[in-house]
Amino acid sequence: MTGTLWIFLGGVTLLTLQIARDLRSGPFYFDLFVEQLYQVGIKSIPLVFLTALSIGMVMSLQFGLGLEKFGGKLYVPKLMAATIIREIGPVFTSLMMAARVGAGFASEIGSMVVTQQVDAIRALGTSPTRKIVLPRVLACLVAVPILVAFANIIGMAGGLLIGSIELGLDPNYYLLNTLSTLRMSDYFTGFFKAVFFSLFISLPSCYYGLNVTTGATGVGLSTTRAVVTSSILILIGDFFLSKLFWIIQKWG
Amino acid sequence: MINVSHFSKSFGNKQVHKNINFHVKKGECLGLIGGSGTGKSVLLRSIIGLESPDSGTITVNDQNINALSEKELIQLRQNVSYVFQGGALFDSLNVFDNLAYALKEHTTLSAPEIEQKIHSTLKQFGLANSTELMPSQLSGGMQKRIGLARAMIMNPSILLYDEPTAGLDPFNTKKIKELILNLKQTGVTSILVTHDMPVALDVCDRLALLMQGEIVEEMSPQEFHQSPQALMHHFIHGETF
Repeated sequence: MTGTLWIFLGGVTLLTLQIARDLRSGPFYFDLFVEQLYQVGIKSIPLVFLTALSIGMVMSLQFGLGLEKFGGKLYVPKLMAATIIREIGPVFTSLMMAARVGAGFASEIGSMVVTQQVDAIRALGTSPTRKIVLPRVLACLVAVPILVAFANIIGMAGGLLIGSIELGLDPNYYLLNTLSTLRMSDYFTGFFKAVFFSLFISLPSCYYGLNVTTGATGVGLSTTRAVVTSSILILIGDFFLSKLFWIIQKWG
Repeated sequence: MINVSHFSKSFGNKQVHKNINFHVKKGECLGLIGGSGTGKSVLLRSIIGLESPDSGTITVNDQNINALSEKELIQLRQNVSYVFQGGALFDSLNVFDNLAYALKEHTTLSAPEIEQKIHSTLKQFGLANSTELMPSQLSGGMQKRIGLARAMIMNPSILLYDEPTAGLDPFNTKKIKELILNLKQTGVTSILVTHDMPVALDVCDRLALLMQGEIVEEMSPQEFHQSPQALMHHFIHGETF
């Protein structure tokens, strides 16, 4: 177990260093980046929309029902805003992306390894990191924070919908409370978390994809590992990033 | 041109190659034959730097492969092409884009020049009307021919063939054999890994038998015909020795 962890950490570190080297010099395949941006960003919109909307609605309902007993129903907008922007938006969106995009990366790259397409990239005098990994990592870095911002808006809209229909809160009051609660630091916290989470999704997925050793079983195993690793990194990373931003905010 | 000296390679506990030594001269075609799992493809992959040896050296065009960085290997691979067993075509690209891949990467040819070169190459390979087809729409034989076309489109000085006729019908086998012979006539140095002895005997200048991690026998096709007791005869007839 410990050995596997060290191999994973070493492998991901080497991959990251290779990406950094490739970024410094040589050709950049803009068309491949745009294609991945479409696959990662645009194609994830329906999934992110549905997830964010349903979570926003459920949270609003649960907060409302729970706080109603103590006469705290009016605090639902404030609670919703802070929770969604700082935690739920980045974490849930990233988990959904780990499942959709991370699995896609690992299985696609793994299949390319098994069918010798990655070898062919090298044999034809090109770099697999530059051709496969870099466009995917950069696409995640751009798309995930934007999708998180989108999920935040949809999640809060879902909360507002339930707040006004089910909890009887005035929509104007809800909106005003939401906007007055949020500070710039809340947006930055969510944004920076999304940047880190995009790396937690793309790097392990590409690493596991490139390291498939056997056929279909290997591709399946790598896909599972990629999703599990990305999800664990997002959940554990969320705690440490929350703590870090909390300390930074305290200093500020 | 290609020199393999004291090459050894293991995967985990399994030693595939113990002590491989051979040399391929400029314009020569060496046939590498041996049973399944004897590491013929591993050897071929090592020559182009897709695998690294545990010990020993491989020199290609006087360059020590083991000492080259990935960047230097990329340079070298523009002159050394590898024909993969299954073609290894990029399944997200059509035939045209598969062939254009190396030309776009490594040449300054204009789009019309690339198009012209691809069309003339495909015509030569008897696949003139297949530019728009995706690899999934091609038969096994067509995939192998496209793979071969992709490997030779950059006019490399060295070609490494990994079982180019495996699993093909007689018609496609003959086609591939003719293509290899045509390339040989242009002065290309090559190594042919194969189980197909008729093809190896027709195409190669020398044959090397790989067994238990070593080259155990090396001879020309003429010597092969004149030596009925040679190990290669036993190998071909599936006899133990």
